[in-house]
Amino acid sequence: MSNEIFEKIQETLAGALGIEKDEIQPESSLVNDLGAESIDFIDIIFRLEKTFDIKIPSGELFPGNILNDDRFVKDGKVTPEGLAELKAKVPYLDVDTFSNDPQVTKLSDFFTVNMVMRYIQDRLSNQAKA
Amino acid sequence: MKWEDSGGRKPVGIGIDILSRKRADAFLERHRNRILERLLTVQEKERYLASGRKMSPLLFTKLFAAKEAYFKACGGDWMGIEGFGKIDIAVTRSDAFTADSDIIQPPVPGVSAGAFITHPQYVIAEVVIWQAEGAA
Repeated sequence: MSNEIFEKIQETLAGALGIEKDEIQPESSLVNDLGAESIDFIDIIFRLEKTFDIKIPSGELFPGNILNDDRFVKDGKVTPEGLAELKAKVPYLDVDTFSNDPQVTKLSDFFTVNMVMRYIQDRLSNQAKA
Repeated sequence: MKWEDSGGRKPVGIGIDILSRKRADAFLERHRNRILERLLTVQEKERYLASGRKMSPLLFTKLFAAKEAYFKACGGDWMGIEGFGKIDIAVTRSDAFTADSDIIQPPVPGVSAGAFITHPQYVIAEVVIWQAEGAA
């Protein structure tokens, strides 16, 4: 199941980013390793919705709304409250590692292929249970 | 150096974005319905899609780049898909726009003034947010 999901995610990302499937590994950072930009993140969300026949609500996969909240960001860093919010709202993200140096500008570095995998697996598993 | 315009207004934010027209065209072509539903404000839909008009790739590229530029001018890094539908862009001339949002705002209240540079391959949007009158 997870291999099948990974292959579909590879195809989706390769299509969105215009790169070869082989370049996409589970640990790859979408920004640092695969060169994703804003328009690519949205393209990826829309393609994943089509591929897996799901709706990805705003703020779930690649969240931005938490970072626009003054309670959660101070002096360019995510506050402890913000980190707790990220953990609760985006459990697929590696918040523990991010919290070592929680600069807002570095958050997108933690958007990885693994994170997308975990999100899709969770969504499909919840769908199957429902 | 004094950072003021001739009327004494100070800039409180500056943002710039560059977007490949080819990339934006392909994105619009592939996801037109989702884009119109989720990335545009109600006002933008009324303004640009009235009477069943189809959004041109160039207009979409400008709107996308302008939203990004405004968000950067507000000090943001990544606004998420939810941010795009909350920033309203009014294209006032082929090379100018204003941006506004109830949710995403600069640290000091301001008024935006934006400009487009249109190149055969790229659109560049730049925006300055000027401190509003009476804002500290």
